[in-house]
Order: sequence, then C-alpha cells, then structure tokens
Amino acid sequence: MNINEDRKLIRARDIVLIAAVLAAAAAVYFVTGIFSGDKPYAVISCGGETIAEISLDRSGDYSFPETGGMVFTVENGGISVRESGCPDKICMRTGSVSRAGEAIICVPNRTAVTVKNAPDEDGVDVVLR
Amino acid sequence: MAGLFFRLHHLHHKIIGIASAAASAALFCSCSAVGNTASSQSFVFDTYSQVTVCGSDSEDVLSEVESILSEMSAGFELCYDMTAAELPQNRLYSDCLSKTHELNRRYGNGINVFCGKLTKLWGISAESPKVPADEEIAAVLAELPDALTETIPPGAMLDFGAVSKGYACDKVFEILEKNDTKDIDYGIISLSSTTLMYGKKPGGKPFRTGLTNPLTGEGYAGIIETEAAFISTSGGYERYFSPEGTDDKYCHIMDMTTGRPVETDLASATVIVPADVPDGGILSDFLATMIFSEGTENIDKWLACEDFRVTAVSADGGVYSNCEGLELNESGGFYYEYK
Repeated sequence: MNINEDRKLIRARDIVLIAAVLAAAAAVYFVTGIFSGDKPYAVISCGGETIAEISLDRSGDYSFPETGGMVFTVENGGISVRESGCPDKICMRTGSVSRAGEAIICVPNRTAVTVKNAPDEDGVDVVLR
Repeated sequence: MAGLFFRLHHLHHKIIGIASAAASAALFCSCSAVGNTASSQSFVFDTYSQVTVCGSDSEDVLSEVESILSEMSAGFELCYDMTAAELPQNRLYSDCLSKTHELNRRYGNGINVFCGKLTKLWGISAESPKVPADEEIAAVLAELPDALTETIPPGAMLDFGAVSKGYACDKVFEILEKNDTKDIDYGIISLSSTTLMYGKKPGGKPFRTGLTNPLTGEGYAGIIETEAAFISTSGGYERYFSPEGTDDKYCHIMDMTTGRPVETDLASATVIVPADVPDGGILSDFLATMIFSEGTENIDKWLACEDFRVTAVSADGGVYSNCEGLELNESGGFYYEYK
C-alpha cells in the first residue's frame, strides 16, 4: 500500500510547493510590475544621461533641476514641453509626442525626451526632421 | 522509496529546469540581439544624433563612428566664430568645399558656403536672432564671395550648414565599408535632417523613415520605405524665427540673391540617394536644401532626374513625389499633386 502511494507522480506536498512557486511569481509580478512593459513612458535625458522616466498615464507637470527652466507636461497619453528658457523654442513647437520612437529635442538645453514602450503602429526606424 | 523520492526530485528539477531554460532562452535571445546592436545618442552638428550599428563587432564600429562624428562636428562648429584665415588648417574644410563646388557645377549654384557672415547677421539658429536693417544686409551681400570661388577668401566666414551633415554621413559610410571584414549587418545614422541607412535589415526588410509633418511639426506626412540610402530633408518648419509680436516667420535657409530667408511655397523637400552612389550623403543634403529653396516652380525638373528620388510637400499639403515606397498620410490632409 505504502509503496503504491509513494509511486504517485506528484504528491500533496509537491502541489503545495508548485503553488508556492506560482504564488511567489505572482507576487513578483504584481509588486514590482516587472512585466508591465506595455505601459508607455517617456525617458528624459540631459547631456546623454537619463534623469527621469515618466509614465505617460500620469498626467501632470514635471520639472527637474538638470533641465533648467523646462516644464514637461503629460496629458492625454502624450508628453510635451510647455515651457523652456531656450532661445529657439523648437522643443515647445514639437508639440506632444506619444508614439514609439518619437522624441522632443532641445539642443540648447542638451535635453531629449524619447517615448518608450508605446505601441509602434508605424514601425519606423528613424524620423527625419 | 529513496529512489522514487529522487525521481520526484528530478521531476522538480525538470520542471524548474524547463522553466529556467525557457527563461534563459528568452534572455539569451534578447541579450544576443542587444549584444549585436550597439547604439548611442549625442548632441552633434547642432542637433540630436542617434547611431545604431548591428553586427558582431558593433561596439568597436560604434565608437569609431561616434568619434568621427564628434570630430567633424567640432571642426564645422569652429566656422561660426572664426573667419577663414583664423581657422586651423584642416582638410575637412577644403574637402567639403571642393565637394560642394562639384555639386554647384553639376546642379547650378545652390549652396554658397561663404555665406557665414549672412548667417551670423540674422542669427536664426543662434541665441538672439533679429531682422537686420536693409543696409546691413546690403553690406554683407556686397562682400559675399561667389559660390564657386576656388581659394577661400581669408576674410570670409564659412557656413557648411547646408552640406555638413550629408558630408559627415559620407565619412561614416566610408568607415562602415572599410569595416566590412568586421561583419556589420546594418546601421542607422541619424543626424535629424540627414540619415544614412546602411546595409541590410534582418529578413531583408526595408528601412522605414518617417517624414515629419511639416505643417504642424507633429506626426508624419508619410513614411518612406527604402533599401540602403542617404535621406535628407529640408524645411522651414522647425528652425525659424518669429520676431516678438508678429506672425512673420523667417526660416534658417538663406537666399543669396536677396540676403534674406528663402521664400518658398514648399514646406519641406526630402531627397533619397541610394547608398551605393559615391558621396551620396552630401548630394542628398545639398539637393534637399536646393529643391526646398526653389519651390514648386522648379519641382518638375527635379522629379525627372533619375539618380535620386524626391518627395516635396507644399505649404497646403500637396505632395510631389517619385518615391515608390511612400505611404502618404492621407488622413492627415496630405494628397498627391504629382505621383
């Protein structure tokens, strides 16, 4: 009898173990959001260094000491530069960006805003401007 | 019993083994792709550049590309502050000048690289742009050397802005070609208004280039699919100057006959030159500026040329194009005037 029981491929304690592993994985999934890679976000970099990542579903105004008087506005799933102390204002004129690969560039402030993780419907390799 | 326990354990190992094999396969794939693809961003040529190189020695080639770009950018930048006589002896200037002369002879005088003083007078891409007085413009124009002047006049200021990015892409192309033993599959070198698409993408897929909507600056006027090519665009929608309290727009491209920003009915002009055309980068940059400046009046002449492809967008969204791989953004209000 005992021997037969032992021959079961998976025993109760294995099921417990598997459940525990799955629970741990689920916890990691929900707590760290490690797989929530489908949410678009903007990377703000200054002089080549990343200074912030902002989720594009968190509307609001953002500014950072590194980027001087620049004010970044997130709304309707896109990001734009609302204010900038630069002379040419090209960054402000670029308007709102929300698609993968799109970017706002401010050469005088050495600042780049690039969109990551957005659905890339157009699949472009490069944007000419 | 002990043996069975061992087997069960083994099964656990197997389950975990399969899971971790799957995970590491996924990791390995992305790593190997990442390992082969090297990319970087920097502010050179007064713009934001993005370089991506894919191949087994991508890191080496990338750093070589980066260093030549920053070296050339620094060289061309010196021109904004110095007269020709003050500039250090550099083959960069004489080489770029002779290539521009060649194009001016072939296509008509499109670009005058001796126009630095005019650029400085307006300062459209600089800190404090202004509309100069007519007398100031006349004084600079009176001293403006002819576009084809062979020896650089010592007092002149050079402005390679209309050709330098294309020229730089040619130099990058040379590096990538020289490195063919290093197994570079493809590369994308973007200097904002000029891009080099090098090599072949995986699966023979075409390169896709988005043309910025020149009417709004947001989204695309269209997307062009190409093989390896140099692509340049020229337009007045990004770099311009509006004096405070006016709706006037002065674009950064100058008309050498009037000494004022060009007046054109085009919003942008894009030129595509196949990558196997020698010096195709400077050619695409030169022609984009020239075609943009000339407007729709001369567009038929350019559309009839066979060595390169053109897509020009007029100020009301009309598109003149002989590009086969163009997907026009018709829902964005763009329509064909010529196809």
